[in-house]
Amino acid sequence: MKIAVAGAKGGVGKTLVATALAQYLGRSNHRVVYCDADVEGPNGKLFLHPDIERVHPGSVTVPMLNAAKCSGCGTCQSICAFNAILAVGKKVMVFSELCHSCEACFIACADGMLTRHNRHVGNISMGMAGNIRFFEGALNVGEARVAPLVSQVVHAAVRQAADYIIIDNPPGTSCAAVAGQEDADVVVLVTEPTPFGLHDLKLALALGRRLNKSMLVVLNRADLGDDKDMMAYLASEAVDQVARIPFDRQIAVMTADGKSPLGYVPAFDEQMHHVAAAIHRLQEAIA
Amino acid sequence: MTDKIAISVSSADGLVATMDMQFGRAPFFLLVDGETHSPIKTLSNDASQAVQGAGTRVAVLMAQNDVTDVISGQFGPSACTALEELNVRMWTAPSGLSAQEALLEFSKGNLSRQSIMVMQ
Amino acid sequence: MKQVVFVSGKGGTGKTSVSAALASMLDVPAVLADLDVDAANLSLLFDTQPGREIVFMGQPRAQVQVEACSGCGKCLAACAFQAIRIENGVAKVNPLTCEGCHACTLLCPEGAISFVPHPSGVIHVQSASHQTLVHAALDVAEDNSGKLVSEVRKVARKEAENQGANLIFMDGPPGIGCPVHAALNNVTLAVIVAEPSASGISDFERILQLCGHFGIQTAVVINKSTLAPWLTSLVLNRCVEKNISVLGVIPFLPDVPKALSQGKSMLSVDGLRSTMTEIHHRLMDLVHNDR
Repeated sequence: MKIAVAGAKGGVGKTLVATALAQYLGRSNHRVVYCDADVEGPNGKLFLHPDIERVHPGSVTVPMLNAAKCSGCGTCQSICAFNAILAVGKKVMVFSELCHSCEACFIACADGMLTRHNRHVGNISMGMAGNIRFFEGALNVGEARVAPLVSQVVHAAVRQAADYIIIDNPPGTSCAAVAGQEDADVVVLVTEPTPFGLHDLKLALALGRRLNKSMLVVLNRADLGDDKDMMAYLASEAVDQVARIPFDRQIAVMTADGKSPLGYVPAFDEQMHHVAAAIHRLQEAIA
Repeated sequence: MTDKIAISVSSADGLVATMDMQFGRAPFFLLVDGETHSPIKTLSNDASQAVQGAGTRVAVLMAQNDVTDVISGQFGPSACTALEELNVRMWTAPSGLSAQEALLEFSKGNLSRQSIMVMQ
Repeated sequence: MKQVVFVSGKGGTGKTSVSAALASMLDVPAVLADLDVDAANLSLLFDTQPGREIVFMGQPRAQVQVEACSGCGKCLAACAFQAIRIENGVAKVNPLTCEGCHACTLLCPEGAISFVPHPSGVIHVQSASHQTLVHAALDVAEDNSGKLVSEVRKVARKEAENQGANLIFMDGPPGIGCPVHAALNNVTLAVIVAEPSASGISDFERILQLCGHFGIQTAVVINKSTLAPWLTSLVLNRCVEKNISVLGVIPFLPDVPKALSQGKSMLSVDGLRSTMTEIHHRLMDLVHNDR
């Protein structure tokens, strides 16, 4: 079963829930994969302390011109929807930071003068964290296009033979978030009962609906604000809130220190039990 | 071949048009003769509505029209690289000027030359 | 027209809370604009009234003319985004994953694929307390772009002109990409909200470099300074080196996240009002003394 843990905004406890869920499910001898697809700020390793075994480069395809036989026809420029290729006479320039790797230029170039060049955009690391198989995508600093690396690390993770594959999603509702959720059987939305949290939950829910996903909601720092509006909203959308993680000093301190509260804070364990139980129920319903 | 100057402007009103400060998304470019400063024509910028890469496309427009110098407010990093490569000189003018005023400042040597940017 | 934009190099430095607090202290007519359209949160910090909406068009997306499609599947092979499937013998495009690249049209033997304008978000013009706020909401699976930022700014400018306001106060997008270039264009002042953290420092350096490239007058606010005082000194030293004004240094107070979580301004936190007032004065001095 593939579980995407997502949220429309950073800093709501998405990684805390994703890593704790991996650990919780891993306790009962399930084969668990944790995939950190939050490639702009992958923090899962801070909680899981994996031993990294292999690192692969993540790359995207960009065109490179072999100028020798270029006829200067300019077709590559006119086909590029992203204005990433300029052609003035025989002078052809590629702006790889604008390139979306659509490969239309390779199809269009009648002279066959464009060759595929791999541009390194980040790294994909693989390893073990106890009995959890660990994957992480980490985007190079300053890289603007996020979605390709998200897709690559998710595809690597979902190929594993496992009972549970947990995908720690990038925040937001852009194409990077779509790339993280596309393959999931269920999306666990993490949010908090604040005006920002509610606003972001609405966006995240809209994305899940567009992708036709089953969704569950975990409320983090559940007693921090007034949750009346949020509960009313969830009821109106018929989405289940399956766990309420309390605003607890010990959880906050352990989290800041890069330690998982699982196994140390009973109230936290109890909530992760609720999340796992909801996932089991869903699994039975699907099966 | 004589120099040809392009100025990014917000309307097709010749020399009295107000400058537009964004190179890639300016709606029009006024082309003038490099020596006499008399208007040659106004180019409309189809790339101004591009979702991305407007600046690089305008750079091509400049080259296709044999522009040697372009006066605008701000050039994005990709546009700078493209213009440099295409041997078009870039000049930045303060905001609020008309095309005519910008040309006057240009001929007095008051505009600063924009160079390319290398991000570390 | 004076234009101030808040930028940060990356999200999470408190750019929106700082700019919202300063916006609420403005005592001159101004229009507010939220250019951080991926997480347009500025409006949540104000009491807004429903207002005008303008639909925003993004990159055109592929559309298949069902009658013309033979279902040959050549477009599937061309699509690098796996956005096309064959359904009931004809090609079907998933608009969520189509990026509008035209590769499919090149291989379609029937010429059955066209590109149609595609609404990707809405620009809102609302009144917020005594000011007008322009902000945008992107649809899901859409990305921010320089075009949208420019559109929001255009609308804000028109609003300001209509109201006779001489100041546009903008919360910028995070990062250093295309949307940020559009946000920095022709501004009177860019205010970098910096956070003293290991990753925050490199973000700060990059946005500083970008502002330098554009030759924009730049000022700095350091937020959550007490989280890592040694990094705060580092930022301060860089500002001295680069001759950049520091508008102020805001300490980390646990009451700030608490106030923000309740939808309150950071001005409601004890001890911050005087710091913010000082920042506000320095900011307005820079804006008015420009050129």
